Amino acid sequence: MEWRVPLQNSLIWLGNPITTTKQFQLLLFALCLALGLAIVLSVAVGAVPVPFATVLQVIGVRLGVLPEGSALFSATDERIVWVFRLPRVLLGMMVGAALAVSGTTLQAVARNPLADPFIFGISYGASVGAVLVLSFGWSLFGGFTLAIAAFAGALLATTAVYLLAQQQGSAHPLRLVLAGVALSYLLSAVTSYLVLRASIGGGTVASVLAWLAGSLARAEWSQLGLPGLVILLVTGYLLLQSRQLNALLMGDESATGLGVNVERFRFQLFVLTSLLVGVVVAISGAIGFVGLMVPHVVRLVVGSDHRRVLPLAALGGALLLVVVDMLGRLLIAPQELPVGIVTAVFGGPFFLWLLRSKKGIG
Amino acid sequence: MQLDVTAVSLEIGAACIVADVTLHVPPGEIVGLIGPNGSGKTTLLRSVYRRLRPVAGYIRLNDADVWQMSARQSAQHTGVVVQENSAGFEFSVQEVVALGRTPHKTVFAPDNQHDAHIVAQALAQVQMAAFAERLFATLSGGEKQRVLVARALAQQPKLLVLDEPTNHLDIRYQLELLELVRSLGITTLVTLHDLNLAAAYCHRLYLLHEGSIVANGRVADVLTTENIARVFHVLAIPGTHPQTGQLQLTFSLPTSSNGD
Repeated sequence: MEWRVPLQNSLIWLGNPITTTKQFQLLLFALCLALGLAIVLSVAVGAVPVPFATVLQVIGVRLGVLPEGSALFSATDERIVWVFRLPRVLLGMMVGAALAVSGTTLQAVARNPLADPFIFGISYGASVGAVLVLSFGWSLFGGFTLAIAAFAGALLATTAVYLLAQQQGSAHPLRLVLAGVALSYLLSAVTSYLVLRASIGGGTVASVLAWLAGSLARAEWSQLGLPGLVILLVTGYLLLQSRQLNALLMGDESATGLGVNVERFRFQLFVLTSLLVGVVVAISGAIGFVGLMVPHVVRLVVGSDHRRVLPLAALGGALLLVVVDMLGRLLIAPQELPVGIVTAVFGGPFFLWLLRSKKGIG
Repeated sequence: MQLDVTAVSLEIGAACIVADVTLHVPPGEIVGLIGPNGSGKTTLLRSVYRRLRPVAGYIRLNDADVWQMSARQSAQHTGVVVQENSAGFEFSVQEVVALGRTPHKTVFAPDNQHDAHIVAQALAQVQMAAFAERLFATLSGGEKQRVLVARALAQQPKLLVLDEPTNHLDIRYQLELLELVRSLGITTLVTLHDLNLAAAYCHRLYLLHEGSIVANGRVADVLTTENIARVFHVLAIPGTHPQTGQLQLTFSLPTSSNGD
């Protein structure tokens, strides 16, 4: 009854994942360093390049680490760094982390390494919520309308999937995946219809389409607080539940034998991932690949223990999206490629290469 | 610790799978649950480890009702070995066994020396210490089964629940595994397909037929020619093992004259 794909079997032989604590800590440190570098680099490059040192100075002065008087940068540089680029880079970081963490969690929920927010209809549900708001121009909850609509859409989709998959009081992973895939088709049809409808009415269609392709361009400081808080809290909570997540990978019967209330835990995980996906989809649109691939790559390197996978996936997802967004701004400058397109274009081939170069890992 | 299953009925969907079953596992004994495919053995075990709630009856560990406990409390007493497919996710043998510590740890408690010691001890008990760093997925069926027993032992259980622990194992591993269970001295409820293995390793047996217990007691009283003919529809000729002197059955299909 397990959901099997040839892919799974081929992954088994990729080599022995790193398991020592020291190597894990080293990896964690390296990823933090790389993320810091990527943030500064991403803020520095663009239509108007800003020197590295200036980027660091602006951030330093703004954070109060450097004294105001030491400022050697122009007001324009400051605006570019602090108002235009940094919020966008930080948003990319959050979106990447949130998608990778929710992908990791959903793979444990479905006990299927190919699960991601799209498979369960979560991303599509969030999209429907967001597109409704965009195309009708609703603003019931002010600046939070989009986020709330996306979360509501994600939660409704998840609940529907969960209820549809119920059989004798328990939701089997395979039924969850099937219900999720079926609902995804339905929801993506709804999204398409809404887009079509908007295009007939004229006006909003461009913004809806841009949003659907996945974009970080609308980032502002005021938007970062809510997703930042949600991501920190949910990731922290999931990290505390790492043992239970590991137990879930052993199967529902075994997890019960290990003291996990499987039904309740699985529902809890669904709600939490809906929250994660909802808040980021509201701002950035539905970005694919990250939620599926980042946890996968991390597992190839460190194995399946969530105490290691979750923090590394969060950092890896953040790093990936910061880099991808930077590429999106550079590749066809002065035009921009939407982040969702870049992740798909580079992500697919990268993953195929990874699969084929088995010796490259571990 | 002793297990008491009292007048338990179990349903899956609307179908009644187990009806009014009462059984008793005395402290330190191995009690075998036997019966043909579909007789309700596995379903009964699932209610003991809190996976399927009975529609009637009680399941008690000493005097505590298992279904009044949380999943976690129950898992602090009961170690479970079932066969499940967890393909696609890589864990080392050590990580799998360490999962046995789950019910004993609060969310903020990291694994400590004490846990590491228990895990190492459990691996040593099943003679898999040398495999600690290996990937679970790369082990043979017999090795995997022993690792799962080690995981249950890392729970420091007072009751072991084993569902067909010898399935798909080579004969040597079958004997080694049951020998190991016997040497532990833990109260054990086990389902077994192989009646001769059940005869050799269980202190007492319960024979299930279509969801009801049709015989129980000492091995020789349960594994009679009549009981086996009635439930399994085969002719069983009792004999004795030439070395151990234990009951040993030889089977044949009934001839058409005395068949049903």
